[in-house]
Amino acid sequence: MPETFWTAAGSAEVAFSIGLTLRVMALAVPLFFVLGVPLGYLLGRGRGRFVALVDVAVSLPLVLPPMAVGFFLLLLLGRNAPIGGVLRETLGVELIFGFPGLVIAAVVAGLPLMVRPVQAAVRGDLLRLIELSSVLGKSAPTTFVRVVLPHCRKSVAAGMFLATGRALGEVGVSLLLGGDIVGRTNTVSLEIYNAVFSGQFARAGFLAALLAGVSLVLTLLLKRTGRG
Amino acid sequence: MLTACLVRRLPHFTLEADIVCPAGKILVLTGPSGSGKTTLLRLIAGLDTPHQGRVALGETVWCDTDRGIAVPVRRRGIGLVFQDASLFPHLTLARNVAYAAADPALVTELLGLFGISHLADAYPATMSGGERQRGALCQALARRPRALLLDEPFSALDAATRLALCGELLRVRELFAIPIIHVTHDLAEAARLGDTIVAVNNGRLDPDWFEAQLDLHLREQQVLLARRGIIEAVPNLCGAGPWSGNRESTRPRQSS
Repeated sequence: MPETFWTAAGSAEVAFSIGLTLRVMALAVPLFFVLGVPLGYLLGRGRGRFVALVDVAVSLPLVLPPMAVGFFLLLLLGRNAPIGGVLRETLGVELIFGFPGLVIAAVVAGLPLMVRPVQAAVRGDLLRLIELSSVLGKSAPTTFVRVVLPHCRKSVAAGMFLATGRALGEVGVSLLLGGDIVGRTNTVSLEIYNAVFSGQFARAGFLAALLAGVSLVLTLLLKRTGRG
Repeated sequence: MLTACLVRRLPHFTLEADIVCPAGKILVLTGPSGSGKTTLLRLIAGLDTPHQGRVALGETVWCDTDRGIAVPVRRRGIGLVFQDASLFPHLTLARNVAYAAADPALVTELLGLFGISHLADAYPATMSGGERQRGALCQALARRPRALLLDEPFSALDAATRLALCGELLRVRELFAIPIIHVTHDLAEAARLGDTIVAVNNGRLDPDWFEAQLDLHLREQQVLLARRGIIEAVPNLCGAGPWSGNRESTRPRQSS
């Protein structure tokens, strides 16, 4: 019996890809915050060649085709690559063709969209407010928590929504770093790709509709931040 | 007493200043735009670093380049009010003032002192310019500062509000008895507030600048009065420098 839209929703493969995507995002979203806010602050306030270099590195995934980004990461993180090889030999950690590869792919794809709004928000009046806080006797960490973060909260939220949406739809980097191994690394986006190429259009339709729904919610939330 | 003897090389000139402000007095720093007034204030506050010099409040040395002393701005115990962005936009007025003061009673007292208690729950964006600057003064005073530094705090306000705030600042001088350094390019404000008026011109203290500008200002006023027919004429205004003429000749005629 052919798979319908609703039977696709109940299939074990679909449930697995949704669960896997949720697990990837459960790690990637906090990483957007932990990496994106300091990076946005550094790139917005910092100067010099190092900052320019970091800026280029963070922005590259926005302009490079995802397949090219994935390939370059594979050259760095692969089993015998400079970083991947060292990690495998010293810590026994395999980054590619597994869960860590999917998380890295999601973070690399979403991070530029998290960093940009924060970078824009920390320019302008914020320097004066940081100075004011220090004049009022507050330390740098206190100022960061009580002034910088609240000042940038809408931009941080906008960045989180944009980065999450981008990471959810990520295919190219995930394909190369995760390997699209069915039952192991097939996230929702990759499962749509697999379903289309195996003629399971109902499954592809259900998962695409699911992603569209989530994206719609993220877009509405983005609009509410006033930064969308 | 706040003393500062500082040198800082800037892109277009070198700022060199030696100033003294006793407790309970207002020292007005005035001068043309871009002359180094704000930079001098920032050096005193510790927001910028001098290439050479010393800043001290009484026996406490905040900065001494020869001895390698540089007390961080947050440990200097100063109050500072900027021209703008002097309140945190994400906090209500009461929370802004409480940011600097641990004592809630002091917050209430200061808001009452400046007549803005009714705005305690308002956000800065919903307040007028004068209310915001009153709030900024409350915030600066809430940590019981040992010196108060004001960087053109009233320059964006209308004349009436500026006048009212000048009166409140004079009251602060009496109540807190701390050195107050006030930066302004408004001559009337400088004359109204300053126990001492120091002009900074092109990075140097210029003892003649303020008087010269006052003369120029008076001549401009006389042109307006002459236009209105209140005085008869303003001789020698064109051609000669505004401060080189005979003051007697420009006085209004006495009606007989």
